Amino acid sequence: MKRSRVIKSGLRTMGRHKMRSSFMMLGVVVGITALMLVVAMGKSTQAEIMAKVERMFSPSNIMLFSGPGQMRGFQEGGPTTTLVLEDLEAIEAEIPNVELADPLQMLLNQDAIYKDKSTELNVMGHSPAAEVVWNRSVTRGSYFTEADMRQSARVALIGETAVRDLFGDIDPIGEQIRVGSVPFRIIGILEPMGIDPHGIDKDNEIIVPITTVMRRLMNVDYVMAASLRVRDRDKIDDTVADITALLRERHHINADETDDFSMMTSVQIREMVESMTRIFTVFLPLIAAISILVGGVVLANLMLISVNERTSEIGLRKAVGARSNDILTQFLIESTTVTLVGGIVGVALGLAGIQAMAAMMGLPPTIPWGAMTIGLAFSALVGLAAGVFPARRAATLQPVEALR
Amino acid sequence: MITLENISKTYKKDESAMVQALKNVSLPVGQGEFLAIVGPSGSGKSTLMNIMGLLDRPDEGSYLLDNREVSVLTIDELAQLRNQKIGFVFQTFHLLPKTSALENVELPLVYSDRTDLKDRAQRALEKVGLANRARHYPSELSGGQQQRVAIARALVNDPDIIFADEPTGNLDTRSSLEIMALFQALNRQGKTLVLITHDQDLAQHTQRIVRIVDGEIVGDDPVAQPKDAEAALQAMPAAPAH
Repeated sequence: MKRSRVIKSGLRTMGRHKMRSSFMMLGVVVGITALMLVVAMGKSTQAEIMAKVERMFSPSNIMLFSGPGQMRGFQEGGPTTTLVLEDLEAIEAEIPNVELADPLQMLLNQDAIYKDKSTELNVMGHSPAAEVVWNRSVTRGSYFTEADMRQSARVALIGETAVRDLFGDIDPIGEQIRVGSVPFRIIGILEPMGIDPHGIDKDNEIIVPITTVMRRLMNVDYVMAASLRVRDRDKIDDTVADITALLRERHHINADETDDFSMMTSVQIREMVESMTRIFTVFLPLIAAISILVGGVVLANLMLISVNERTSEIGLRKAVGARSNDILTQFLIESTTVTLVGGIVGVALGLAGIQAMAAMMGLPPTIPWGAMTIGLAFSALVGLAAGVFPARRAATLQPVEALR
Repeated sequence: MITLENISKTYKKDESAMVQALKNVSLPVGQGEFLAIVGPSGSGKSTLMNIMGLLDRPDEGSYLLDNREVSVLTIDELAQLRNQKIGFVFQTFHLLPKTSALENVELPLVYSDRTDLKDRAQRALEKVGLANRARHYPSELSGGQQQRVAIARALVNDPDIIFADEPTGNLDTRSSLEIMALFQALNRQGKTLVLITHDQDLAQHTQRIVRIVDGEIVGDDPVAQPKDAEAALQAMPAAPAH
């Protein structure tokens, strides 16, 4: 009863000094808002990247690269030339868990010409299986066929960026473009896919039968990579082992030699993405948390100043019967309330900021419940810690000194 | 009700110099008395009030309050005694800013075990004639009114004794007389009052004048014919409306 009256009296005094209390709050408000924004943006960005990765790299896929280690198709001393279309046919035929194999050969930054217009685009060679394996179909026209593959047909599916650059308002279906000296007939418009995690515009490309890229554009008989769709994704690790064994046999690799190919599953890709986005999920929140701490230091200073300014109030309260503990309680409650209210204001601002930023960046808003709870608890703790020293200073003031 | 015996108090003025503020002061104060402690500044009268008001403790000597030795009590016990038995009125009022008169008067009750805070505070304001100013902030009141709020605060817990340290130091003549009239009325109702002042004239409103110089009591005399503040007020020309 008495304790609650002491607390109420302290809170009322606080409420009457809105300016002072607001300044004390400021650091914590900014800290929590920053923490929430950073964590939410980090989560949104990570989710966005994950969604893209998921879209481009289904958990049911295994990525097979020619050459040891990732992307060694580009290594010095020329590309590894041992992975061929027959390997993929063998994998499809002999490993039951592999449903589909889509080979990949590509040429980046090729000049493409339509009438008097030209643009630079990427030429991706795939098999018709790509439609399923990469989960990317056409919005108009049709995909190329096995027959096109066999004949190395000069047909192409084109992405929207390339359409815009080459055709403008003209309907590209049935039109002919040239890549180098090779003419291609456009038979379909690719589903838009946006920018991939490597920063490549997946809509600025044409997809053509891989045999066409190999024979007519590059004059090679090997592929760079392949994407394999498995039937049962839980057995994906066993399947990777089976493929390794099969390819080592087909490539005549001795037991003491290393693989001339490498594989990657979606689990590894997720890990890569997570480690790349750690800056959003770990380091930036840490900086925001430090800003709450700084807010606490500022609060402690303001509280000390406040105690000095209010010696007369403290002296009076003591003269009329406040015990040291009552004063200690009053100031601790004050500092904790300041940071808690500051925390709540910060959360409100943070939520508003998240909505605004999500709308601006076209991302789905993420509410960082964890950051919110931890931030609030942390700020109350900081308030308590920041209040201890000033409150004790206030509590130990002699009434005689304080009333002078 | 108060018996001081051989009270001494020394405090540090700066690193090297010690000042003996009180030297072997002995002073009895009886129930229902209205006395003035008079002395020039630096004489030790404020130190004396602080010790009598339990705001400070003597270095030496004995202090009996209601036959109880209080120089041995803990800080919190002293706080509780101040809350129950003592009221203070200060020269600078010491009202909490931005806080209504009523809540200022309530303050001692916050630290007491009483429950009827609002009623008691309202009644205390009635006693000082400010019932209709309960919702006003100190900044909206005149100096005299502020001091009366402070007196209501001193009265609210029904203390045995009230200490007033230069209560009229910041007030004009009329307000000063009003405050003294209020004190005299309270004294007639049985309150013990101790007025600390350097103003010899003001002290003439009390019944007994204790003179203190350089930390020693140099005189203790009854006032033969105490001035009547109420009568002096009546004799003054009509107050300007405020």
